Amino acid sequence: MTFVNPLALLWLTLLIPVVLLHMLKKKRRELKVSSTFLWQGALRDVNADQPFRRLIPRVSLLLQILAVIAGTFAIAKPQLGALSKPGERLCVIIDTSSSMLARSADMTRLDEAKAAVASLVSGLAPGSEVMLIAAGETPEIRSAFERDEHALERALDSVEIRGNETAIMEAVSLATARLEGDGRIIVYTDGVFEGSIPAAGDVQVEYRMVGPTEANAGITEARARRDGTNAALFVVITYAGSTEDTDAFVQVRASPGGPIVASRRVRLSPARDTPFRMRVPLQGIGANDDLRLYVSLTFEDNRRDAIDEDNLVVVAASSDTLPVVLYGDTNPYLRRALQLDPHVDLFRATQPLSEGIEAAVLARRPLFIFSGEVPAVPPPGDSVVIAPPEGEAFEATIGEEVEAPRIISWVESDDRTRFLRLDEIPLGKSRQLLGTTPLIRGLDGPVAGTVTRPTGETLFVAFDLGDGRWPTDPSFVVFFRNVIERARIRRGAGGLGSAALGQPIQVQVPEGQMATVVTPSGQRFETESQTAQQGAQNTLATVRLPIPPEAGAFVVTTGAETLIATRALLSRSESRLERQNLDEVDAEVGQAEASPDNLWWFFALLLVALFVLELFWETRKAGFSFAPKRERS
Amino acid sequence: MSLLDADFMRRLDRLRLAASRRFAGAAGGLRRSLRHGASLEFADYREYVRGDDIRRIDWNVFARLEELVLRLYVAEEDLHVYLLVDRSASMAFGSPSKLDVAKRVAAALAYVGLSGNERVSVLPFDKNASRVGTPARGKSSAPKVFRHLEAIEAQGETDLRASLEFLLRTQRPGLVVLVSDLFDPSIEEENGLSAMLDPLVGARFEVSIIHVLSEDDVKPSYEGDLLLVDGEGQDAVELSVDGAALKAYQARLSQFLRRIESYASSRGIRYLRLEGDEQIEERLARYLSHQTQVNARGGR
Repeated sequence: MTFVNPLALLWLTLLIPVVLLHMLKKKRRELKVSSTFLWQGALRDVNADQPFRRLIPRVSLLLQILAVIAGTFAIAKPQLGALSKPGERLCVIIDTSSSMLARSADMTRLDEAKAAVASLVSGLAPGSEVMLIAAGETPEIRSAFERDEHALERALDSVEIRGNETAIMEAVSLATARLEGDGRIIVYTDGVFEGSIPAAGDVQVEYRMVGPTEANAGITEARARRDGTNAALFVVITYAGSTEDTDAFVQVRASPGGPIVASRRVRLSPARDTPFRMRVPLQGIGANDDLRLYVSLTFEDNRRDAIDEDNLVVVAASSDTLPVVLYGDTNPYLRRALQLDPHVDLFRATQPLSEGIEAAVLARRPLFIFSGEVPAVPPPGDSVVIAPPEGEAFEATIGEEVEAPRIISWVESDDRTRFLRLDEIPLGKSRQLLGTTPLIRGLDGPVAGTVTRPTGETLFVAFDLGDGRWPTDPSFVVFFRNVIERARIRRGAGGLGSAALGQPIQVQVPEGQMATVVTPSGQRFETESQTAQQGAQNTLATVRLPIPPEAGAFVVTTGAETLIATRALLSRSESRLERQNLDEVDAEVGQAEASPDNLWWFFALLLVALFVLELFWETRKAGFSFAPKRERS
Repeated sequence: MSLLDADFMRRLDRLRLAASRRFAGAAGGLRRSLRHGASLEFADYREYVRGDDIRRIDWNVFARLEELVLRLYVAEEDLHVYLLVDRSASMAFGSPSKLDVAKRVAAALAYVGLSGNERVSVLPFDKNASRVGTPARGKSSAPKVFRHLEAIEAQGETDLRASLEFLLRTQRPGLVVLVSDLFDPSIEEENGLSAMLDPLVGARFEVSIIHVLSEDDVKPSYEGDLLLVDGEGQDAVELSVDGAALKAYQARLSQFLRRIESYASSRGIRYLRLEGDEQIEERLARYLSHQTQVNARGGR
């Protein structure tokens, strides 16, 4: 047992006057007796038998001592099994992956973890320092080492679900580095995460499990392909039972945003995932229209489903083909690759943009590929700029020529670099690329980067494709296929693409203008753009819109432009709620304690009880006996 | 008479004070005397000397032996009964008070004594014994003795030794009945009782003790944090009366009583203890009746 307020134990010094008052002259009732000489002898005998008799608490003294102790303990706020030691350094990691949305009663696992952390923080001894880290897809420090309880509570309030993965290893590594060997780490998690479990190393790692085992069914994968008037919808559902291992039936429904146009009854087995395909009729929707399908599932038998957020997925069912408009002298290898892609409608045009292009093609939001010169104003939608000349190109700045830059790194998590190794590719000449988000880095700076606007994004490739041997490498075709696929997905999703639950939406907004996002549940958030994008020559600023962890389509409005961003929990491990076996880890594992400081009221009640007992004792001594009183001389 | 009721007095009429030894009385009485006197009970022979009463010459002996031998007979004299009544302040305690009990006991003994034509003296004592007045004699003196007893009030401290020494100095041997609570700290001393009573016994006084205790003396009913003030003086004891203290008191009391009983037994002193408001008359009557029977068996 530890104390939240150990200084309050100084109240125990009250015992000294209490004992002294009992030892010193005490107001005694005077009573005349026949003779005292026998009593004097008796007193000698008693004192001889018990040398410390005066110190031995009699009932009244004992009750008063206990009352002082109980009162002191109540003020000192004792904690049974307290999580903290006085003045220690703690790094608290909260799992903010999607599985923490699993509900038990009215609380999610995240709520439970936050309540436990709040109790921990409120129960800390003075001088304790706490760092708060949210472990979503990436670890985020929500509060540096902080002693102010209120500041920590505010930081705790800001913790939300971020992404479909738990970066526990990274979070523990981060915490370990920040602790510098002084302190310990407490991880509040439901144990649902992939990868290895960080064990105790230089610092002690303590895992606090939250949330009971619950049954859950969720969509882990959904893809749509349009085929004329139909859409082929491929869905994978996973189902994890809790105590019941019986099969369950769900209804899967698909809707293009209005009435349900397709549904299917699916039998789920807790032992395996259930993939199936269903066809969705698309009456009244043109073949080239953008389409988003809302796929949802519900249990037939009102079975409790732990996570609601994995029951809805918005799938971009893009048109069968993506229009691609080529400007300038396009590399023949690229042109050939595009021509061979059956899902690309290839057009060639000259500037200005509308020259030689039908309005119907422009209405389909094509992907524009510029080789060499670019127009002054970027086209709506996504575009690719290859080997731009020196100077300004859209929001980027193209610098001096660089001879044979060597590729040293690339953003592996970007879908455009999937399946690629670029480090062995010899490039010819390139140019310096400023004001873009680097995608591929050379020794002298980025050789490929992205500029994002509210209306679309532009990929800059700063080198000439023909000035090297890259077009002959298989990675060339894969790279541009990835670029085409990304453009297709972005177009189908409405422009901002999809991401994991709770991932903030980033858009570029002219400075001083508002960016508004409306969540699937109808909540509205507004943010004003303030900071200009570094290196950019225009007045656009990147705005980060934090959103709640809801699944569905978020409508983002920036000025006159309206874009769609989708968020979904598409993770098998998160939906199956399969816990890691933390018991095998060389770390302390336990249940999160919701209220470690719940003992004070017990001592307060004890104080009252002792007070009543003492009162009863004193009044009884004073002659409140129910027995008939005997007369005395 | 408020001290004794009529029924009890009728029972007492049949009883006599028992003395295990003979005393030399001041007047003729119903008891054998140490002196040879004019009773019908033969005691001894001795040679005739001039001046002797010639009526007591045993002529049968003279006929056989031709010697003048005088027949001696046991003289019958009265018994002097001293009733020592403790009137110290401690006797005021109890319900009824120990002094009231002592007065009734003394009245009963006095009545029995007077009925047996004994000489009865009542000596109230506290720190000092009062002057011994003219002894009462004869049943007709009972009202006077009773009034004397009724007038006694509790006061002062107990000094048993001084009172007994006073008796020893001033009075002829007789039957001494000590009616007291014996709450005299000197009793607690080594040989305290011996120092007090042995001189009396040695001087051929026959001593009886009637020990009067109140119910609170035997089983104190008070408890808690108390300042116990001595009823006879300024002594006070600060004490938290609880189970342990009561147990220690009981042990002390038992030891005190055992010491008295043991001493009485060793000296042949009759001892009667009266506790609280138990039926005093009944116990006293039984006690006197038993003593009378003992006396009768032993022969008068």
